Amino acid sequence: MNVAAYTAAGSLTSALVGGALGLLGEAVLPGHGGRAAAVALLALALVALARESGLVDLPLPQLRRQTDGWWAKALDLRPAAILWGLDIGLVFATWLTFSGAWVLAGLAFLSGDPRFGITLFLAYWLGRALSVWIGPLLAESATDTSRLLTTLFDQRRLFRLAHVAGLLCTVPVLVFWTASGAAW
Amino acid sequence: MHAAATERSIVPTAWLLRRVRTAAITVPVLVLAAGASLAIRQPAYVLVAAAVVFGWSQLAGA
Repeated sequence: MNVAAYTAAGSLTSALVGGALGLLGEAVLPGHGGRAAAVALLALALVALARESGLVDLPLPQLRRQTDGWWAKALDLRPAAILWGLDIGLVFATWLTFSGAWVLAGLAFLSGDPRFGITLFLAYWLGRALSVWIGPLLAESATDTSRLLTTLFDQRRLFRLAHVAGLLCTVPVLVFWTASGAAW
Repeated sequence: MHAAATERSIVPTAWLLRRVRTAAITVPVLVLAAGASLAIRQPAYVLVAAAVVFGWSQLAGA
């Protein structure tokens, strides 16, 4: 139940972030979603790909902040889960490990389409919240959280590889949009 | 003594390692394959699938 509350709360803020970026793009970019936007996005995706492949060493712009651990100690589980979901769902308010979220931000903004922005950020949140649903299936026991977290961290090379695969999949679509000038 | 016990409690077991590795690979493969199969109708589905994978891989920093 708390996992569901966490997921629902994060969906709300993620959708807000994606929608806001799309609206902002719609408001400030004349002829949004055109070829120039596709070229800019392709460049952004390639930089992210170079970073995650280890070809370049670029710092990730971020707030370097963690969700407030005090919530879990001072509040009941449900409100704490909701606050954690709301906070982490903001995407850029807490630590980012990889650069894909910035590519999504670029996509949402440059598309100038709030619905597309909402869809992308809800999908991102779905992937992020999925770990909370799957985590208990991975652990050997309910009290094994620290061992699970250590193992996940130790296997970050595999997660980085998955991230690279995701970035690689975006490139052909952006090349297609750049070449064709097609609408999003 | 306490430090040794703590260290033992976070050393990954072979069973856990196998499950984490399987999940780390299987989830993105399934999601990206689904996105690619829908891309014929609308290329943007690939981007949506990639977004799921971006969120999933953030698990490494949990």
